[in-house]
Amino acid sequence: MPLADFLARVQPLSLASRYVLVAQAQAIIEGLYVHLRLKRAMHAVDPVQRLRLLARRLESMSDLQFHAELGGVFRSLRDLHTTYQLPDPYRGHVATLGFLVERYFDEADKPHYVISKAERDLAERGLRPGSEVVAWNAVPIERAVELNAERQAGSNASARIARGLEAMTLRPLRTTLPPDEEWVTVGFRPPRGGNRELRVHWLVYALPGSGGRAQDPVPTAAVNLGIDLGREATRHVKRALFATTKARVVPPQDLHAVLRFETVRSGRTRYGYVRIFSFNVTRARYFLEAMGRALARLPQNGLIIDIRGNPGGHIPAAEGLLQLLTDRPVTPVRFSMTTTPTALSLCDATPELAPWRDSIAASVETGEAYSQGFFLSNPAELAAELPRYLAPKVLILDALCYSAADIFAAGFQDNRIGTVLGTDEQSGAGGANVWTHDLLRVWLPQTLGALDGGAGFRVALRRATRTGVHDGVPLEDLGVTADQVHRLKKLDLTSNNEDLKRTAVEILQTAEREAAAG
Amino acid sequence: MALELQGTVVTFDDARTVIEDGVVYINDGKIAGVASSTDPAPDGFPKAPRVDTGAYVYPGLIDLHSHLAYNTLPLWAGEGAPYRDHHSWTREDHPDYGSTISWPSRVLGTVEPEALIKYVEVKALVGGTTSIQGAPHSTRPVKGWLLRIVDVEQLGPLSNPVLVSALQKRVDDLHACGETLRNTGGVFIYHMAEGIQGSAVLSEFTDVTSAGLLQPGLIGVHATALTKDDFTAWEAAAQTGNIVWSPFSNLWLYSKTTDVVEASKQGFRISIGSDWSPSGTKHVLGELKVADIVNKNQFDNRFSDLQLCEMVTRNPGDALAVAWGPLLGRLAKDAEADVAVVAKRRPDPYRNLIEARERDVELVVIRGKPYYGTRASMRAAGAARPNAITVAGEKRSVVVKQPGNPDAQLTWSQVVRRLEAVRRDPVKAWRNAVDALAAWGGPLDAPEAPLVLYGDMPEGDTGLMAAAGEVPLDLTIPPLDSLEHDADFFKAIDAVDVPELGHLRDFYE
Repeated sequence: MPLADFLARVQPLSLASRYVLVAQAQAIIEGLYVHLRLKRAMHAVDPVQRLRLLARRLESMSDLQFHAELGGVFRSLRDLHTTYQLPDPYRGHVATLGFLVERYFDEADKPHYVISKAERDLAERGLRPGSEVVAWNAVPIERAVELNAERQAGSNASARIARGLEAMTLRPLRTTLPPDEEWVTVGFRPPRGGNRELRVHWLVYALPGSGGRAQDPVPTAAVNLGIDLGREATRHVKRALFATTKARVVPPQDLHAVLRFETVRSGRTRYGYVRIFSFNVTRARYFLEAMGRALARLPQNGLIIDIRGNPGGHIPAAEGLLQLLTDRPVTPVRFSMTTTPTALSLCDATPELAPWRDSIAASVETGEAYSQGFFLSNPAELAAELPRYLAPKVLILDALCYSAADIFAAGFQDNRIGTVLGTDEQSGAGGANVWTHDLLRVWLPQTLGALDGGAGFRVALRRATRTGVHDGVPLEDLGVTADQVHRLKKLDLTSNNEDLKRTAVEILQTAEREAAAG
Repeated sequence: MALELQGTVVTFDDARTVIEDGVVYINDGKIAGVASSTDPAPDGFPKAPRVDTGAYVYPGLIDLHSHLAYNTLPLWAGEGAPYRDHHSWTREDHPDYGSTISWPSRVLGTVEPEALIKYVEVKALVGGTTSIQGAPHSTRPVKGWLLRIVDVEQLGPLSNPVLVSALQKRVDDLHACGETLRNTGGVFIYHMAEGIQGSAVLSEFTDVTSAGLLQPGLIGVHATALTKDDFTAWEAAAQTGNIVWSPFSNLWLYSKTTDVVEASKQGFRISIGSDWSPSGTKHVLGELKVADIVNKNQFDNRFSDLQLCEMVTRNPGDALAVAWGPLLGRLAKDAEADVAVVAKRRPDPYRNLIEARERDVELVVIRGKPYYGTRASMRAAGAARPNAITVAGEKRSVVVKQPGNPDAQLTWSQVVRRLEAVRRDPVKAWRNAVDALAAWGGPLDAPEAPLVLYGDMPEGDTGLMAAAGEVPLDLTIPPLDSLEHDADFFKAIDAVDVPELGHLRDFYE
């Protein structure tokens, strides 16, 4: 549906509803948000004061201004877990231009922006894969991406650029504002040369609903998730728009939507390659059983695990997978909470959070800002009796990897499972377990009330800290630094990541030689 | 809907009136009047079916302490009993608590929440219960309770009249509760000091005291660790203190029970609660018998039969009146139309109620509508599409399904079948339910959102598999706890060394 038609369906929130939203945002940020101290220090922001000001000023705002300001408070945290979720009809909808742009670097390290996917009608109008984008509404593309990156919540520069680039053509409306413009004039060079311009309209796409109701692509009631909801939504839309018909709609427990296995050849040697698009799976053991079976069938000379763009998901599934990759016991990350009275009330009420209670209660005397840290999973127990993949391994990540994917990468590095190869310097740096306002309300009915119009919040409730040589270091904002960086080349974009895979194989071969040399 | 119930009406009104041949006139969920059968109906009372019960007509029984999410489970003989306090049996060194109580309850509450709710509600109905406390936490409000659920019932003008916590709160949270009671009214039903006298849990009462919660709206559950001095202090602060007594559970877990005699001497209002089925009776009618046993054997008949019966009718009604007004636990004009009709086996109505068994409960009316009873009485009362059910060998009817209520769509036989299906393969059932839950990305309070129940008790040690959303592969769910005090129940009692409880068998033989 055209963007303008979609926006015409939006019912403005009442003033009372706005006040409730701001008050609830304040209760969550002040009372439960585990990264508040970190964000104040790292980004010099004061979300609580901004919310107080918003409460005073919201009467004079338009509906869209209000959403923008409230969303802006959350974006200032640079935390993709902790988000304001716009009310209906934004839930379950993504705005798209119908094509994707990716970036590569030439030999002079100059970035180029290339169309990697395009819908058929755009391709027929000349905007086909391989075209290089040079301008965006008459702004040079590199500057346009930079401007868009500044509006993103990514927690480091790499992450913001990556998200800024993705948001040029895809906007999950639940977590980001709709585009200001109805169309974009794209300046581009077709693969065969020349310069062209094309006006492309924003369209709004609906994700699959349930029972006639729009759905987020992430469960509302989960307690062990670490995921970037917006990116998971865009992942679904990409799949719906650009994947083959057969692959478009799959039930959530179907792992075809999150996994792909291949073999990579180098001379006569074959290596395993697994692409994990998301850890958003329904159950850890189910995921691990499938992975165990698949890994056993792959060549046992070495394994490339590619999690680029993975928005995270089920934390125990991600941590359990680490145990399939080594025969040594894996130490997962620890999770701690903030030590506010609200956090303590939550632990008092929620049996699941009982382990965190005592150290929060003791903080009145100890002055600690964070509770004791506890594990969310026992990888050995989850992976019991499943086969292990013991040959050398390399993990490929980028700045779009987030949360459970960050946690997986950190565990991979901290438990010395293999080499981390980045197409960016760092992962997306989301280090937390996120809960929804809906679920928190179950346990804190006196503190958190109903929100009108289907609006919502997600909040980082438990922060992850690393183990091993990085023991105690938070993942949030710092992420996982790649052991080795491979900037994507044109060949990667046009030939199924050929150059990237070659680099990964070289790392495996080096590891193999080192292992043989003892 | 209007209804007339004729019989010997035991009113529990201010004068404790008993009308030998009386009629309770019910209209629109309220009692329109109570009168002799020879007197005319109240002015304006519409034409209504009259059920000539030939039995005692009591106010519906009130169970002021339960934990509904666990009431499909049988008696639990935990290792190491008798315990000192409530911490002793939920700690990590008692892993059987997690495996035999927390896990089965969690699985049933996730996989078959509606069937679980309906099963435990029917179990309470069978004992004449019309109001019960102990709602589980849930992802959204349950639509279609059969009973009056004290935790969520909206009676009277207050927006949130009943606060509840089965888990212990800190002083500052207790202080906030105290402020709420003081400023807006209502009641706070709070588990505290559950343990033997001299145990560390007395500090929970100290916290309540420090928080300024010794007010008329405080209803203390258990309070077994309290002594005369504590009751004296409480009574002095609150004028009329309220405690809920669960003698079976106390004796089962601690071999000692609350000093209700001392509390009574101080002027406390004492109510009875059946607690939960892992350490309690099947329903409050069974618990009344345990109170009678303890009264005889330990308290030298301190309480009269009338006083014991008031503990399941008028007393809890009065305790809740702080929140709702005096609407429950009595048969009087303008009270809520909750009624239990019980067969006449004894000339004294109060002894009759104490000794009544499941087979004696002939009709249960809630909000003026018949929900459970003999086929004849249910038919006469105009019950809508009841299901057949067998209780203690007797054929009965029960209304479980309620068109229009999304959480009351099952018939009784479907309720049992659903729960048994989970028992047959709990791991598979759990996995399917988790998949369905993971597929829901909409608001949790939407009517079509999946419902999940969460127990209100400590979880004990359920391990990191629970945190990972996985269920132990060797999990077994015990057989559904029967609706009546039957041979299996007494066998379980015989297996433990609590002689006092063995006397309960005398009522059922």
